[in-house]
Amino acid sequence: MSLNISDPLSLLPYQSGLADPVLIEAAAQAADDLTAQQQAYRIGDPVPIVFCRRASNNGGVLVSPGATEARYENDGVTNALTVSLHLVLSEGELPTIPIKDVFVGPCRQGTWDQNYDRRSGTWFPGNFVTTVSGKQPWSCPYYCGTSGRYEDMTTLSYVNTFVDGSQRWNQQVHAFVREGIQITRIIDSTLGPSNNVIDLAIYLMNQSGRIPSTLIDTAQMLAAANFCEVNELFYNGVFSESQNLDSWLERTSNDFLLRLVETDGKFGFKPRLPVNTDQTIKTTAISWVFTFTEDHLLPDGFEIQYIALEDRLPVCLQMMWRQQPDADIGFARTTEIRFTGEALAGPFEQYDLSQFCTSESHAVKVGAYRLARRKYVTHTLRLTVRPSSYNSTLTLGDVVRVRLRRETATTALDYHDYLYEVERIEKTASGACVFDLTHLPIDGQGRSLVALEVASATAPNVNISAGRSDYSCDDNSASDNTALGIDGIDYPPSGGNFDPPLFDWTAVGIDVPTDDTWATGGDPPIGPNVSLPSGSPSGGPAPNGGWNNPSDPLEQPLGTDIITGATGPGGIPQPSDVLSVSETNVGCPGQVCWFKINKNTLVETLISCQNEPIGGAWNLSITTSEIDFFIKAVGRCKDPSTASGFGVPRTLGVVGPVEEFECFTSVTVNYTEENVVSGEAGCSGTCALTGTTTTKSRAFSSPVTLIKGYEDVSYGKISTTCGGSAQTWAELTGCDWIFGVGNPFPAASVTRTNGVTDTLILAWTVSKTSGQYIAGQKVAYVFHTGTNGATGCTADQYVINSVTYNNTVSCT
Amino acid sequence: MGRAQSQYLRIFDSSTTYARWQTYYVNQTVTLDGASWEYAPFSASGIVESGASGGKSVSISVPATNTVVNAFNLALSFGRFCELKIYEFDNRLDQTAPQAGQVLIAAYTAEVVNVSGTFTRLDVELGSSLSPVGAQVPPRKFTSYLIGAPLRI
Repeated sequence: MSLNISDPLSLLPYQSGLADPVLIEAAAQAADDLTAQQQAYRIGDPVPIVFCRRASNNGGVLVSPGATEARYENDGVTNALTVSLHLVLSEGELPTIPIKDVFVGPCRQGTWDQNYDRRSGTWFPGNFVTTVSGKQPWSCPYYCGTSGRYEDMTTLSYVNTFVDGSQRWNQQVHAFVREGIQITRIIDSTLGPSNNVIDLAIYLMNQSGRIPSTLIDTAQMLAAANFCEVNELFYNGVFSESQNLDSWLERTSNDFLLRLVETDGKFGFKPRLPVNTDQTIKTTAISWVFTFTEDHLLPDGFEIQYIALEDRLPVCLQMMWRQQPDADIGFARTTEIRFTGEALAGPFEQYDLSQFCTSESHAVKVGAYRLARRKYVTHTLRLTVRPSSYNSTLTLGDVVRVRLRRETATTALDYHDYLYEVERIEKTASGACVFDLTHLPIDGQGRSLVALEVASATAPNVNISAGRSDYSCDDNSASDNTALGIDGIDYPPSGGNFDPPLFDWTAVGIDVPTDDTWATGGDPPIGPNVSLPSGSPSGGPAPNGGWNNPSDPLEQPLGTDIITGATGPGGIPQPSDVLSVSETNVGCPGQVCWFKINKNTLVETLISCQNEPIGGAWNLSITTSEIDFFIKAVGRCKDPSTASGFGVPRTLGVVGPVEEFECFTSVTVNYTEENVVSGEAGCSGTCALTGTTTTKSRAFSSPVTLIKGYEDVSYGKISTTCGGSAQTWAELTGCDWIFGVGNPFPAASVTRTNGVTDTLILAWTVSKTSGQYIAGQKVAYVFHTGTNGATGCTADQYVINSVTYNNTVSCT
Repeated sequence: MGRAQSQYLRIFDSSTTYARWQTYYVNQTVTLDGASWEYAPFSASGIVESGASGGKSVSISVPATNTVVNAFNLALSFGRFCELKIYEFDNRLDQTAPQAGQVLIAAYTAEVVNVSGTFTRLDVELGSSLSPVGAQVPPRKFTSYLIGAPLRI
C-alpha cells in the first residue's frame, strides 16, 4: 500500500513565499561592532565565502576575519606591544585588497600581506611577552596556534605595534572587500568576482556536492541571472554561517524577487514578476496561455484558499540594507515602505537584507513586492482537471485564466474569472493534472498590479553620513590604493619550522573495495549457488557453514512416545500389562485419557480418564478386550482459565495393537514327501513325480524363542522341476521378511541350490525395520532336503500338512 | 477519447545507460529514440513541478525481480540517475510500438535517493539529495589539516 498525500492548499502561500515568513526582530546583521575583541576561528567553523563585486560605486562587503595564528612580543624598554595575526579571509582566491581597505577596529593601521593557497607573513606564532620593570604587563593569549596548509583560501597577515598601555591591541580587524571570490560568471562566462546571486547559488550547489551539474537548469539560471542584472538586484555579502542549502536557496531567492523551481527534476530560478524578453519587469497587459472552464474540471476539482487576515492587514515594512561608502566602513540602514496613509504608526515588520544588499533600490523593490502581494493577491486555487493539450504546454510561472460560471439564481449569473500564475503542477499516474495557482491581480488594462507597484517603487537614494568624527586614528591613508604585501611561506613538504600537519596526520584513507559485489550487498553468507543447509542430502557442494540457528524450546515437539509398561516383543502390549505415563514425562499435573483404536477401522473409543496422577503416573491395565486395538494416551495440563480446567489436549503416545502372544521353543511339522525322478540321465531335463509319497513328521528346536502366529502364509510352489544347478524351492508371500533355522531363507523368494546338504528349513517373519518378531506374524515352513546324488540330480518335493507347537514359554 | 500515456524509465550515469524500461507495451521490447526499452510493469506516482518547497520527489513502484533489485541497488550505491518520461498519444492508432507523433508531457530526472518496499515490490524514491537535513553550506569547514591547532583567545 502506498499513500499519496498532497500538500494542503493552505500551505501554498507559505511554501511559495506569498505569506510573510516568521519575523525575527533583531539588529541588522551588518550592524557589527567595530571594536569588538578579535575573534579566532575554531576547528569545525565554516570557511567563509566572500561574495561581492563593487560596481557603479556600489557593493563590496566589510569582512571581520577570524585569526588562526598570533604572535605577541613587547619591547623590553618601552613595553610597546607588537601584535601579529594570521587571518583567513575567504575560501577561494580574492583579488588583491588595497591598503586603504584594511582596518584594526575602525582605524587603518598595520602592515599587511595577502596570499592565496599559502600562509601569509613570515613571522612565527607564539607569546614572547616579557615583564618590563615599572610597566603594566600585557595579558596576551598563550595558545598562539600552529600553522596549517590553508589550501584554497585567501589569507591575511597583519602586524601592528601598540604603545604601552593601549587598549586597542586586541580589537577585531576588518577588511573591506570590493571584489570577492572568483568564479565563472554565468552571464559572460568569465572568471572573476560576481555580485549575481545566481552565480553564488550555482557555486554553492556545485561545492556542496549534493546537486550534480546534470540537475541544474542552466537556461533558467541564465535567465534569472539576467533578471537580477537588469533589475540591479545584487549580492554583496560574506557567507559564513552554516545553513541548509535548500533553505538558503528558498529564502534568499525571495529577496531577489526570484523563486526556486524544480522543472523536470532540475533546479532553477524564475522571476516572481512578469517580465519582458529583456528581463525587465513587465508593466503592460498580461496575456495568458490557457483558459480553464467547466469543461476541464473533474468532480471536486475546484479548491480555493483565501489569504489569511494576518497576511492582508496593512503594515509598514522596515527594509534593512547596508549603505556602503567608497572610502569608509559601511553601516546598516532602514527604509520604511508603506502604502500612502496606511500603517503610519505600525504595525512594523522588519526584513533584514543588510547582509548582502547594498542598494536601497533593491531593498525598496523587495519591500514593494511584499507589500503589493499583501495588498492585491487575495487567494490561491487548486484545480484538478482532466488531461488535455495543456499536459504538454503549461509550465511553472505561466499565466492562465480560470473562467467558471456560477449560477445561484435564474437571474444571477456570474463568473469566477481571474488570472493566475501556475505555482505547482502535478501530473498523476491516472492522467489527471493538478494545478496550484496563485491569484495574479490585474488592473482595468490587464496589467499586473504587483508588477506595477514594484516597477514604480523608487528609493529616495539619499546617502546619510556615517557619523564618523573628525578625529582620525588612521596610520594608513584612506586613499592609498597600494596592494597589500605578498610575504608568505611556501611550506616544504615536511612543513619546516612551522610544522603544519601533514595530510597523513589528519586523515585516514580506507581502501576502496576491490570486490565489486559490495554495491549490491556483498557476497551471500554461504557459498555461491548453494542453497542446501548443512547436513542436507547430498546433491550439491557443501555450503560454507550451516544453518546453525539455535533451537527454540517453545517450538520443539513435546514427547509423543512416552507410554511405558508394554511387555510384549517389540514393545507390543499384551493383556495384563499395565501401561503407564509418568508425570515427569508429561511435564505438568493434569489429566490423561486412554483410548483404544480399532486396528482395522481406526475407530477411536475412550477407555478411561484420570484427572490426577497416582504415584506419579497415569496407568491403564490392559485386558483381553483391548486385543487388536491400538492404545492411545492423551494428556491435558491443568488450565484454570478454561471451563474444563484443562488445557489443549496432547497425544502422549500410541502403542499396539495389543496382542496375545504364545511363544514356544520348538515345533513339530507333519509333511508329505513326494518323490521325483529325473527324466534323463545325468540329472538334467524334465523331472516327474513318481507317485510315491511318504508322510513324515519332524521336530525342530529353535535357538530362539518362537512366537506362534498365523499359518496362512501362502507359498506359490514347491519346485516341480528338477535338474540344473539351482531350484526354486519356495516362494513365500505375505511376509515382511523371513528368517530361517538351518540354512537361512534370506528373502521372500528363496532359491536353494540343488544337491547341497539334506537340510530341513524352517522360516518365519520378522520386522524389516526393527529385526524383531512382528505381532501377527505369518509363519511358513519349508523343508528342504538335499538329494542323494550330485548336483543336478532329482530332488523330492514336500507339502506341509500340519504344525504343532511345543514347549510354550513366556513371550518377551 | 483516444488519449493514452506511456511511461519510460532510464537508469544512467554520465557515461553509461544501465537500464531502459517501459510500462505500456506488455512483454515487448520497443524502440524509442534509437534505443531499446524492455517491458517492466512499474508505476510512477506522478510528476510534480513546483515553485514551492517540499513535495518534489517522485516515487516508482516496481516488481522486485532480481534484475530490478540489482539495478536499483547499484543506482543507490553509485548515485546514478533516473529519468522518467511520460508520453501522450492517440490509442486509436498504432498500439504495437511508440508512435512517431507521441508528445512528451512530463519528464523528471533525479537521483535514486531511497529504496524501500517488500520482498516482491520495491518503492523507489527519486529526488535530489538536497535534503532538509544535511547539505550545509558553506560546504568547507576548518580542519586540523587546514589550520593546525588554531589560536585560542
